[in-house]
Amino acid sequence: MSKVIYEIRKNTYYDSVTLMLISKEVEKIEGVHEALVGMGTDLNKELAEKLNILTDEIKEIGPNDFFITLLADENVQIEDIVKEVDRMLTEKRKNSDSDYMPPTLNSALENQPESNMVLISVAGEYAADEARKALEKGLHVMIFSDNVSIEDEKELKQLAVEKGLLMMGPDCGTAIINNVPLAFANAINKGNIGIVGASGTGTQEVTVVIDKLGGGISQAIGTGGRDLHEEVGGLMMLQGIEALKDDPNTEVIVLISKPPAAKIAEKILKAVEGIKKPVVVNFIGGDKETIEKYGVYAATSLEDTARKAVALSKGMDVKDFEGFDLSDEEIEKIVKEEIEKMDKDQKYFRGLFTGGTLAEEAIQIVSKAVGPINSNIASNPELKLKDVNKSEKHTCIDFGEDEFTVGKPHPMIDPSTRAERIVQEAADGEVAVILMDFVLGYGGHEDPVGETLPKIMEAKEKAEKAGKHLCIISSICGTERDPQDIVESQKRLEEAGVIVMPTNAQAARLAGLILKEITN
Amino acid sequence: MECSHICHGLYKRLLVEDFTGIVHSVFNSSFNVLDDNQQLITFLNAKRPMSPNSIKIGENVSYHSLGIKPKQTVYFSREIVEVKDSNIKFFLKESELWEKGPNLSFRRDNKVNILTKLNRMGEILSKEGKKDGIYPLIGSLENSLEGLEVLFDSNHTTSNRDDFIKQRFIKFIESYIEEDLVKLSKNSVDIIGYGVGLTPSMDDFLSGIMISRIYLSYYLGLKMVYAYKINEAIIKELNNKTTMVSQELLRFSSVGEANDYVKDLMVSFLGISPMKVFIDNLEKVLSIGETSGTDMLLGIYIGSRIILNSF
Amino acid sequence: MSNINKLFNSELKVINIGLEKFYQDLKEQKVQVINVDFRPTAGGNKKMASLLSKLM
Repeated sequence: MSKVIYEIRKNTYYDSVTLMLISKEVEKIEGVHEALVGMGTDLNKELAEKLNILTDEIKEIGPNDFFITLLADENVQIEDIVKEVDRMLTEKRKNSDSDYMPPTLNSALENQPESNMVLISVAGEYAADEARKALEKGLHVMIFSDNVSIEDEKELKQLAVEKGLLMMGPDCGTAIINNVPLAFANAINKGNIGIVGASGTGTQEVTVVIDKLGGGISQAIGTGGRDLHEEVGGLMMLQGIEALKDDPNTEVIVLISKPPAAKIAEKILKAVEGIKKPVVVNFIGGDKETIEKYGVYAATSLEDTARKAVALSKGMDVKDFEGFDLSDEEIEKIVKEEIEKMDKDQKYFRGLFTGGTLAEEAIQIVSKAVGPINSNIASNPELKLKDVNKSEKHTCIDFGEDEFTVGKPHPMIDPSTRAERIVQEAADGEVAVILMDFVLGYGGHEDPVGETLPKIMEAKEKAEKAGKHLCIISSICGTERDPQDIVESQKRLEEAGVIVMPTNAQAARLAGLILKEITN
Repeated sequence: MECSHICHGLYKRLLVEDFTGIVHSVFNSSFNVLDDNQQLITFLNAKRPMSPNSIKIGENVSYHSLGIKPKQTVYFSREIVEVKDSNIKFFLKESELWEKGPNLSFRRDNKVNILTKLNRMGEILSKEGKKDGIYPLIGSLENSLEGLEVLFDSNHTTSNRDDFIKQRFIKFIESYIEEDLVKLSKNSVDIIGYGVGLTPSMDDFLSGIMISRIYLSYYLGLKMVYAYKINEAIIKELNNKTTMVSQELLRFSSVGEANDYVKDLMVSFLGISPMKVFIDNLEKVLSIGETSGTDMLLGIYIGSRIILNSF
Repeated sequence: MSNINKLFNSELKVINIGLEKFYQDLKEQKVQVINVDFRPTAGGNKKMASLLSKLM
């Protein structure tokens, strides 16, 4: 047996998002068969009549009166429906066009009580406080901001470990949780590879290559750049490893970080030693043998990390990859063609990067071919650039570092600083090869290639006029589902004469080959 | 609170007299005040595009959180608007004057480009438009109008509750194509006020179709008087058929008066403009309300197809 | 089940505090997200803010 239940509120107005929400939710209530929510216009009343849920009272209301009418089972009580509707009206859960933006974390929670993740990117000095509040409320946290003290980081992570929560960061640029990209991250296929990464663009590159090779991600947990420092002791990486160990959707585990202090490395490797799931470790530039002692796979580049992970995820053989997608002949051809066009003074390498880890990997690979490379991120003081705005001999720059980002957005958001530098390098007649990264994905600029192309073309022209050939090599860190158009991006770069390689490692390797040939 | 914009007509009135109103409805990004002439004055926050008969502030604050409530008295004078009960003051001195009239001074783009843009509009509607409003009814126009195929691409089905409105919708569109003023008035009365929302979906659709007529008549060099006549016929019998907010929206739209997003869209559609700007404007209109943006854009799309098909 | 594994089994619902771009991106992907219009407590006066937090 069913009955018609209705509610009328005269001269009452709810915003359209709320009305739509109520409309959909009321229909989902157990025992409700037909529901109409709206204003008392003649047409809506007519519709109610057609649906056999028009009552005399509703017939009487006017177009500025709000009504709900529904057909429900006998046992459904109007009070329950009204309670539910009122709850929805006050909660304002869904993102409304009116975009309600509460002023504090607490008011946000009142409006969205089932929140489970807080993404913090306010200035460093406030970030720690907000994170603490969030953790105390039992929420998982990601801090994108840097400039949080290491003492605060340690305290926050200890609190998080105590409560079994994620505390990703500070200085965590990338995470993918439940296949949702957070901050700077790419749209990656779902799959069985779980990542814990202390490096933003490192994680991005690995996930992107996994996607390209037909693999997928279960989770990509970020730990922030300092997690594996002595004072923090790898707290979040250990926490992440535990979670992935117990996650039924994760069948392969990947760890990414710059080389940790020996004690911390040991701690981490011991934690993964006994795990039944295969583990791939990339301590960028770390020692292969030390790592493999613990029964895990060591990777020699970000691409190699992804390849090994995908092979393991598909139950295939694991091989080291240190070559190219293109055949040896094709590579030789490219190297020859580029060198032929250069003049005898051209011999230097200039790496211009927006992603820090990509810059590090480039330095690591290219220095094998040309020897030490100067940089603004060199750990060796002899290789640290005296003036970051002036390259010396072989140089590689990370434009995401503080010296370039004070008062200016990060180069992944605003590509102009790096773009300007390309033209500057072109004016230096001893430059042979420029190596660059383009990072796509959420969080970043909507068309980094488009923004940079005019400067690339200007640089090439400048070099040509001076009788030089500027060899520009790049890779694009992105997937086909990213908001930027990766196919168009590659096309436009190639049309401008840029050599686009499939990964950062291959791009760096090619640069190394060309530079080596020059010195021969 | 500092106001950034005030509708010129409203400003002119305040130059000669003070008046009071009563708060009619309150939302997060806007609230409406019913003045002593039974007309609505809308207050917008920074997130919303400027609209006819409105005052916009420079901040992104939520009006709910300020404690403004229906039935509170609002005092309007030349330099300040006060909601005494919540101790809120709006300062008008530095605000820019905003013209609600249609922007009919743009440089006309050529036919080919416009048809390209119209096609993109259809694609984007199909891909990103909300299907909860008037969209399901579009399928019923298959036999009445060319150029709608792109909208049918999405997998949405009409529910049986839409059936009774379908026939009337078809009749309305046919009388619109025929430009039969008498039939138009009769047929629009049979559909105005239909749909969920403070501005029911059908009303948003009609707004879109009326705005497109004004702008297209200018573009094609047709007699504007005639365009106004047709729109007038559509809203002739609208009294008491729909919500107050929607009634006003329909009246504004009938003379081509619309918010900044819609104005910008029409100018980039029919005027010379980079495709990117046109698409950005499309997205802005789509983002209005829940289904309002989609419904209005459908009205613009169909109105444009109808008029351009005969030229 | 640990809280992190519980998170892996639920729908992500995010509170964004800071860069509005992150909020817009999540909205675009139809993730449930609310944006906090952040203002430092006590107008940015940190000593005041920490005193206030002791009261709350």
